[in-house]
Amino acid sequence: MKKWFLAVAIGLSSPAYALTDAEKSRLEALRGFSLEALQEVEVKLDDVFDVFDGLVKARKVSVASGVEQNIATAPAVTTLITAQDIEAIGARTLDEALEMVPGLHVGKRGGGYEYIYTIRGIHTNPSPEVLVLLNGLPFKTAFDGRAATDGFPVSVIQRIEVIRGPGSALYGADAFAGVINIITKHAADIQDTELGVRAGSFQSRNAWLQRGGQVGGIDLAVMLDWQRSDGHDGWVEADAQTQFDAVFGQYSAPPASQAPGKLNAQRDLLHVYLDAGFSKHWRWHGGLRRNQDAGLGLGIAQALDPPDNASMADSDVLTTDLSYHNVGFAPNWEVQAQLAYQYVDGLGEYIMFPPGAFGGAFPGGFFWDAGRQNDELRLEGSALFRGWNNHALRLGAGWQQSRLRDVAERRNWEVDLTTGMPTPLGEMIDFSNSAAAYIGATSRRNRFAYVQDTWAFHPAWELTAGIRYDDFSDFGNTTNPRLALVWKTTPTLTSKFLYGSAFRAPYFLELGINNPLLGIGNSGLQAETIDTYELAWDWFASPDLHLALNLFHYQIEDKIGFPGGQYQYANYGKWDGQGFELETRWKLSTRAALLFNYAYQDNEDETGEPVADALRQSAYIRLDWMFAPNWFVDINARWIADRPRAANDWREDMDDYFISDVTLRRKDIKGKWNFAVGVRNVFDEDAREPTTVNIGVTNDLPLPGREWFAEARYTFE
Amino acid sequence: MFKSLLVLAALVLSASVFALEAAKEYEIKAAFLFNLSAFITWPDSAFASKDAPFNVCVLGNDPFGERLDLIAADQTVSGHPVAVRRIAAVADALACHSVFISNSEQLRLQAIFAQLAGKPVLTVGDVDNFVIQGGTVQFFPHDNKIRLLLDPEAFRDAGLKASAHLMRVAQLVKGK
Repeated sequence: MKKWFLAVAIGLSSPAYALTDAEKSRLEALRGFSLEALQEVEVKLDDVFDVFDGLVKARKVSVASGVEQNIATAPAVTTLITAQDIEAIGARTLDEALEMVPGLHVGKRGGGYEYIYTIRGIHTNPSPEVLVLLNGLPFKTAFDGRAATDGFPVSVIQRIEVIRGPGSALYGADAFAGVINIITKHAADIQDTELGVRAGSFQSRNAWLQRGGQVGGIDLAVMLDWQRSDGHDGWVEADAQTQFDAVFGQYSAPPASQAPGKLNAQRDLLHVYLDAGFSKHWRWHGGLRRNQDAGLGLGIAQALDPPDNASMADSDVLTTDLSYHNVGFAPNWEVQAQLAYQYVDGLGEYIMFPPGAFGGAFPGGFFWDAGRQNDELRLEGSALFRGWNNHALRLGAGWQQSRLRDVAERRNWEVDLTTGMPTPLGEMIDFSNSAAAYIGATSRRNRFAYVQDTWAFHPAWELTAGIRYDDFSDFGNTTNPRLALVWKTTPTLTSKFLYGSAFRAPYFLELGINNPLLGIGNSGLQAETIDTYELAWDWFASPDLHLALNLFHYQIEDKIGFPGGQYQYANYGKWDGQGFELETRWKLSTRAALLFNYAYQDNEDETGEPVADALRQSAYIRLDWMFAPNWFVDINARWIADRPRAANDWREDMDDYFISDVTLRRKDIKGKWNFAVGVRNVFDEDAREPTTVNIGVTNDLPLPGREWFAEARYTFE
Repeated sequence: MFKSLLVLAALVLSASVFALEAAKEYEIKAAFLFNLSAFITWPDSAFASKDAPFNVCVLGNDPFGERLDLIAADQTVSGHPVAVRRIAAVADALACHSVFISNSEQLRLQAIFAQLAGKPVLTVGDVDNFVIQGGTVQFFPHDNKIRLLLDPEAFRDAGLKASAHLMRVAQLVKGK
């Protein structure tokens, strides 16, 4: 593996400094043009096939400071993924697109087969340390710190901005390891009407329809995306029930485990997004995500379902927000305000253990149905003042309320508190909204205020300093500062020194869950905190070669989890980590570009052991090539390596994996059709993601083997 | 399994070049930046001698790269040989005849304009509201093409004379 990357680096190392002959002759022609003629030359702004220019030259993000800024000088380590990137690599979901971000890995958790976002080795299940924003607003809920982004369709995405590193000084809770901001398309991003269909392995079907245009003075975009899949047929050799079978087998009980068997990664998702821009300064978003009959992966207790009766989870997520943004509110004042609401209604019908579990005590199966409704209401206002020479001052304040209501629960078991063993109840008993339910209704209010100033105190230097205060009604308050010094060392090299403090709010389940089998909450929990120091360089070695390097060190205090062998949440962990990320973007020719990222991290917990399951090394390589007019091929590969086991986990070390994808696309630049075919995991690598705790899944969670898809898009008026 | 990838990578390097129908944004802007000088008259005081160079500068992050050097190679403006310079500080811009102010300088624009006030330096940029904030010529996108916006008052203040042709071709800002 390493040898191969080396070979590529050496084999391709002749620098591509000089302009090509075609570029030279074009420039010479342009020099001879009159001013009128120059004004008539069409610009290839959206040059689909020139990934390098798209990625490097036009890179502007707003996530770093709240103001749109060039990535090179933004006061944070950021990555931008454009719609052009997404199309080039043939990504089908948000998570597939995120894999190109250095230092970010999208893993999966066994129970639920849902995302785990790991940034710089901060790997937990669930992964509440990464803040997901939808159009700049928090998309996750206070219930479990998760966002509804599994299977999030790329068809509605205009771009994705990612910060690696802290963001609490601007975004508050959970901008801890990083921030992912998903920006959906506006009317102007959609040409008339687009219809797309995609089909592939595992009975995967996807169709989308979107239209953008003007209706009565309103810029309106309507986007629909529907997808379903049987899910891949990853093979699970042994599960949690296998381990129980070994115990109960000593008492001659027949085995109940469904392993070896296939995991359940079934999906059926509908997304509807509306975007309306009106009266110049106003924008409204409305979104619905309907998730039906989602498979639970290994099962929530890491025991496979019987084939004829699978666990299922349904959820609806409604989001809506109204925002006002006026760049010229008053001389030198830019003003922004947002009112947002999110509603989540979820119900899972889980078969925790198969029929015959616990030595036959549960002949029909061990069932748990759990549901909940939670909502988040948010109001925020901010202003940017540019009236002082060389300063940009940002002020903001807001209020958010998060509520958990209508807790539904039915189960056919209870836990004997003296033995800690589950005992059968005979039939399904309804504990909804009762004191015996797994969690009680609860709510939280968060008030916050922040101030940030960017001061260009010298022609080559910019200093950004900010601080944010958050007060939570349930666990107290926290203050988080940031400091960023950006130095334009030379016209082609930018250096940055960054410091940021951030926090992660304990979520409702950690504070209030009450079930000896699932865990015991702790209402006395404090926020997890992290201090991060970064050094970063951004260098245009030549107009066609861009390099970025950043070094980081972080210290985490009060990490929330289960201290050794206990079932009640506590603030007990201390993590220490450091590492670096290297990014290379290289334009090989006018028709080919190469990207290469490498990330390394080395972290340890309070016992001095490496943090379990956190990948220590990863690499990503991507080659984009237009090999004939309108024909485009993308090859990319990622390498995930060195994932240590927990100290008390006797399983063999995780194998590294290498997955490579190929996408072939034919696109008429000004035409109506766009076709693609893609193969994922071309070499059919047996890739696995770690199952957090060893409860019998000896060979971890399988990822999809080789799979293919074909896609067609048609644009019409 | 890697062999096939390597073969592909090698193929890319030898791939033939396809002709383009249109030009890249900064190719066009580089041509504009240079060609503008033919339609503007600088005062004699702006040149130390008859064969002193005509300096085209880029202040801040350079979006042009070698394109601008190629455009300006072996060219003259009113008999002065053209030199391209990259500068990091506005103080160095006093030696420039025309200076492209990169979007990396967005926050410093007002300080830059204050320092160049009354000096015969043509300020060119493509930041939003560049001319409104005090710049002389702004590139702005329109219908996938690049257009010129200029402020006649800023020309007068700098002691530069724009030709009637330039005034006709560009859009003018009045009474800002």
